[in-house]
Amino acid sequence: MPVTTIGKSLILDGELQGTSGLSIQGIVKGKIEIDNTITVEKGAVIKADIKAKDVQILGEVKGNISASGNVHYMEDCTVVGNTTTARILIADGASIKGSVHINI
Amino acid sequence: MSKKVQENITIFHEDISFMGKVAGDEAIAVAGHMEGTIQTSQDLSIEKTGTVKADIKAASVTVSGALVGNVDSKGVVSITKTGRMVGDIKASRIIIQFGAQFKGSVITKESSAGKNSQQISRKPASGSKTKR
Repeated sequence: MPVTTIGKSLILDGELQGTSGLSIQGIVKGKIEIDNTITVEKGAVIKADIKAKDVQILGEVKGNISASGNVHYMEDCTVVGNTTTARILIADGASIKGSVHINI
Repeated sequence: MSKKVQENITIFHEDISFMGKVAGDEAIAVAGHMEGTIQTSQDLSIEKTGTVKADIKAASVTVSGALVGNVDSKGVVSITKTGRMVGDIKASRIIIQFGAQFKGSVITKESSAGKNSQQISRKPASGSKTKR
């Protein structure tokens, strides 16, 4: 399945939904709901609630994150918001402010 | 990075839908569904599977899918044979292919833009010109 990549010069303000993979390099505000993997690349800025299967953050996110699968907070990422997930990985160097809730 | 290189293109695939505002400086292709406003300094293309309900401002626009909304472009707006569009077009040039569906008004502004583009030779800034 193709991955939709939001380029680094793009600014999206609104509601993004879908089932294909998503990779964000630009700025997204609003709401994101993807039944697949979301990758927030380095340099990307998200001010939105994220709901997805798997989430991988390398950039900056302000908003609540909810994943049915895995959440990866890679080094140098910034996350402000609450996280709900089944499995989580937080790498050394990740900046996080918010609660983490792991469903067992 | 002063050269105008079309290095990036953002493709909104078939199973992606977006409602809201998109703005940026890169080429955009829409194969999914989009509603709102789209603004880019580069080209926009609405693919066969794309359905867009938005006001558009782009360098050039190609419609192969469905578009409802107004288009404002400094370049070429083209509706291909699979394209369907309802809305007004403001562009310097326009192409509507045989088989395309279109309902709306068209304004082309070729006349003034064409004359200015004739001035190719660049004169040095110093001289009699003092204004600007």
